[in-house]
Amino acid sequence: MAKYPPPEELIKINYSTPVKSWMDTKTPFKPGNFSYPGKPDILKYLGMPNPRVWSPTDDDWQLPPDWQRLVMEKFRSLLKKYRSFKVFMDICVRCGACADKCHFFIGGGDPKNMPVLRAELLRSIYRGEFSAAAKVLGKLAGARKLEEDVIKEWFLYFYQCTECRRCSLFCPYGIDTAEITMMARELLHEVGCNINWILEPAANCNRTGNHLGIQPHAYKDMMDFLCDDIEDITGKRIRPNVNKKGCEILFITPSGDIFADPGIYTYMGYLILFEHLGLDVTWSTYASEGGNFGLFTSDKMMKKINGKMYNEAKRLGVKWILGGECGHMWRVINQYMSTMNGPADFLETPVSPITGTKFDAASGTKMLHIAEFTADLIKNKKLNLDPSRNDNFISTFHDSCNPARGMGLLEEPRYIMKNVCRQFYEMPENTIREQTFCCGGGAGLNNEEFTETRLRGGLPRGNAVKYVRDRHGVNNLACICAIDRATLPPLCDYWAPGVGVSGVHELVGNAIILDGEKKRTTDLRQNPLPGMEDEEE
Amino acid sequence: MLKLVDYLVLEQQAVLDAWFDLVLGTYAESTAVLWKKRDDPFANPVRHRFEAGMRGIVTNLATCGPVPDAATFTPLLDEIVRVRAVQDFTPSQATSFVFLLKKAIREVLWPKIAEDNLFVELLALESSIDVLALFALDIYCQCREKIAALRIDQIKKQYDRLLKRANLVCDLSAEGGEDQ
Repeated sequence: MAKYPPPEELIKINYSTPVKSWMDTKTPFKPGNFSYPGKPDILKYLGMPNPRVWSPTDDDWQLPPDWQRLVMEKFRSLLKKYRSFKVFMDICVRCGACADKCHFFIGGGDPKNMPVLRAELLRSIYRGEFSAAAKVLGKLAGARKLEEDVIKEWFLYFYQCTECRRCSLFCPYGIDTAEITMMARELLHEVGCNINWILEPAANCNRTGNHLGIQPHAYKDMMDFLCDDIEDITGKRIRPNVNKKGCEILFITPSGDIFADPGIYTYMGYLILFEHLGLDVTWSTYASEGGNFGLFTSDKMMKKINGKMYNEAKRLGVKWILGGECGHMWRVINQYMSTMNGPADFLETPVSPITGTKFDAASGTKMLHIAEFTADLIKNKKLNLDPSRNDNFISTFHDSCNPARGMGLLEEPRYIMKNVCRQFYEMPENTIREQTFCCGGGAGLNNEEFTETRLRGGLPRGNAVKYVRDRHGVNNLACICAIDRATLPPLCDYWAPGVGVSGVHELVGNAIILDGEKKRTTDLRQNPLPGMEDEEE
Repeated sequence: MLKLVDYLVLEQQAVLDAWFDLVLGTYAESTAVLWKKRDDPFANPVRHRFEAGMRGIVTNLATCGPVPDAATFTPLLDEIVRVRAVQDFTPSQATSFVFLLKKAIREVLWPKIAEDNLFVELLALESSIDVLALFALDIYCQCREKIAALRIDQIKKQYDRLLKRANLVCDLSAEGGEDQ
């Protein structure tokens, strides 16, 4: 008979992992934790350095021969250009307030996803290369040399940051970790380490005006397709203006909403709203993208992509610009647009033609968020609404990171929700408003190959959704961001099955009663309205 | 004389604490420190889910008899497995937490087991825990299959409308079957 160790010995099994310094821990790449690299032809198109076919799982990343010099020169120039970057490098006292605030850390537990440590990946090189004292003290002072492994580590972890800025909210010094990630990504561009999901949309946007590379005729075609659906549902044919000169308003929204499910229903919501108001508004096939993947690429790219909004407004001769439900589009507009491409003196401060309300908060950029516009309409009782049409939805609201933390848009979407739905419940307060949890797909990480890591980062959001699902029967998570609309459905499916995702203006579109419309039997998704389950088409 | 399951009920908190510590030992040290410290269920969902699942498992293990049933234990194990399935663990690492319950029980209840000669009961209890490990394996696989399905779904959703619009695909899914 085989000899078995006595139980006393068995209980001495050591399951714990070896404790190593983070600097000595190798970066593990495996399918699911990284995004695919930029394709060579895309890099060439964008004029970016070191185009090649490579994979993060390769041993040799084919960095340029003088890669260390390239990175350090860029580092130096960024420190000189951005005073904030230098301050962020110097000022952190490692108090740890941010440590457990990142959704990727909360869900996954990798210490390098603690914002303080993620920034330290960069800071250690800053100390090792730019601080005389730290150079001498080395690791004792938290300094290290720039090795190839450092580049690999940067690539993994700075592309595991969604630039959602939740950590910054808790930093007593106000260090904007998202900007640290932006700087790190700019450094990585110098040696050709970047991801395709960001660069290809940026390249497309340069060429056709939107991330998906949809050409004008195809865009118009998709729009007609959605108008067909609206006609089926409401009996009314909507004929939206496209590229029309001389309208009062130009409307710009993310292109993701024109054909991606469930964004299309939000798009239909806009069309219905504008029809209901008889708004003098045009859409554009050139400025057909609200989103700006330049924000995740470089300041130059961000400026260029953002520039088309004003260019198109000028070409079409509109008075002001109305913007749709989008996340980082509004971060770019609210934080950078005025200084990058402004002042837009040829435009006027937005005034609602329906209510006469002047939106002074938008006087800087002349761009108004549709949630502010619609909330004002509801407040002034200008919308004919039947909220009972949304009775199949028991809703909650997910604050998208950028509108919430990047521009303070907290009340307007809620006000709309409460007027177009009769059943609305908030998630716990430390998961909404400024403290909202990211969907895990911001900053260009909503690609399919990253699904597993995104689900990991989606745990805190999913956990809060599950809570309201179990407590209040919530079955709909409304949001005002196209990336959310793409990312939250799988997140809910994994963490809180049974909860669907919609845009706020999809619910507005359901509730609006158009003049002369037929009796509606379905909502915009062509699911039966409450009490209409037995109606014939 | 008390049975092993009675001791399990009496010493429940000590067993749970030991098990929780062992499970957190499978994470980085600094992570374990933070996760142990913060007990807000929304700020620290991993701890919240783990504790809820573990408490349920230990409570039910004490009353389930010789054969644990899947209907009772699956939702409890799910609280933990679903999280570990997306945490970069290998399948064995992800489900190993079940076996750590054996270690926790031995650590906490060993004096009683030795004193009252409860080794036969210990074997039975450990067999039950082995069954839980099998349930955990099922859940783990379901989670991984779900992740793969979500990836496929995402690809489909991205191009579905365009392809259909361009008449490049025909919809083979049953009416409304796969779409929802």
